[in-house]
Amino acid sequence: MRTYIFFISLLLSLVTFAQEEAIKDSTKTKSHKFGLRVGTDISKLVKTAIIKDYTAFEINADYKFAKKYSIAGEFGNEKRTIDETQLNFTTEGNYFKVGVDYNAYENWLDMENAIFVGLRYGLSSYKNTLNSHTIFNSDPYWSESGLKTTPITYGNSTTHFVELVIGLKAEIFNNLYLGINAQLKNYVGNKNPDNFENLYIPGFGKTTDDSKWGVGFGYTVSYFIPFYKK
Amino acid sequence: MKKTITIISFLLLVISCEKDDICTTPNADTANLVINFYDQLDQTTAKAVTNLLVVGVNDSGGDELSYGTVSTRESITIPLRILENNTSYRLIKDYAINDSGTPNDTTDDFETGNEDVIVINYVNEELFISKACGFKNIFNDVNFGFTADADNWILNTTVINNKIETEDNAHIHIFH
Repeated sequence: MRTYIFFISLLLSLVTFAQEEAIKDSTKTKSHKFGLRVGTDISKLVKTAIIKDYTAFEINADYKFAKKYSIAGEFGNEKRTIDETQLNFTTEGNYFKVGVDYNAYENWLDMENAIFVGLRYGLSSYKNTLNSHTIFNSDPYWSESGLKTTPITYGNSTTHFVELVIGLKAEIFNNLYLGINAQLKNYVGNKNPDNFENLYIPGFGKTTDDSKWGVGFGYTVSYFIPFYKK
Repeated sequence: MKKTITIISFLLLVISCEKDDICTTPNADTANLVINFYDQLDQTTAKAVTNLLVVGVNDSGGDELSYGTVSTRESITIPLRILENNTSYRLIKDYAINDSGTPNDTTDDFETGNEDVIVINYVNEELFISKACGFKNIFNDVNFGFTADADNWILNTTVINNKIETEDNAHIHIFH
């Protein structure tokens, strides 16, 4: 059910962006600024501040190399503790994503606003620690809780994933941009530790038992450094 | 209007990010020990133990509450301790309570029956199942024995499967 809601809302978002674009289509110029836009995901900073057991930081950048295309990437660190019914674990590690954004928005004058669709390759390298777990034993005859509180640290995990990202970036102040984006990801290579699974992947998010899909969102604030105009 | 739709659709996006996991994996639960009873004289024929009562033995040698009630059975399925590497049970055949001829007075009641004590030794192993199910315990290198006494009703035992992972088949055969 939630998967359907996800796709419907993704479509709705695209439709509404496309409509806004159509209105402004009549007045466009050919002047383009090329440069580097560097920023951070403020949703990660806010979540770090308000959610206990979560710390994350991400730097993102995009460099426009053609009229409609930019090289884009993110680099970040995430540490998250998740408490499930049967287990409590912490995942900590780094990730980077690199790819290309296609800007579907026709800008006025020298503006660098973007309504973009992007594709990324992502690599996440991290470590899992099982803080505590309960052995699943539904027969309570021996009155054993089955709770084990000795932490278990697993070896390094690596996950490769591909990510489809849609979003917009709008200039709110001189060269300062605010953005929002939604990400749909699928892992293509994932090595689980012995006798455990990668249940949370930095840069990817939670994994589920029955699918390789993940979703995410970001709110970015970034600064555009113009290099030249064409 | 368009902005409202955009905001709502993004909120829905955020909500849809969380998925509930429910443990539905088959055999995710720690298995109990399955013992089948066979005839000592014809070892391929199942033979029920009459009026059997199963009672766990704790570390100080005392009784736990009985596991189930008195009944005549060809098979029992009993839990093993997952935090210890051994478990003991008293298997009392032909269990009855003798009320000394005074049904209204329980103070002089005593238990009758032939009691044999079984001991199961094993090595515990935790096996990861899934996020929702967590870990189950597997009992490896199962060793089964019974304490000899003057009047054993258990005559012989065989370990059929020394790894207790599921309850699909018997792990132990007891001949009597």
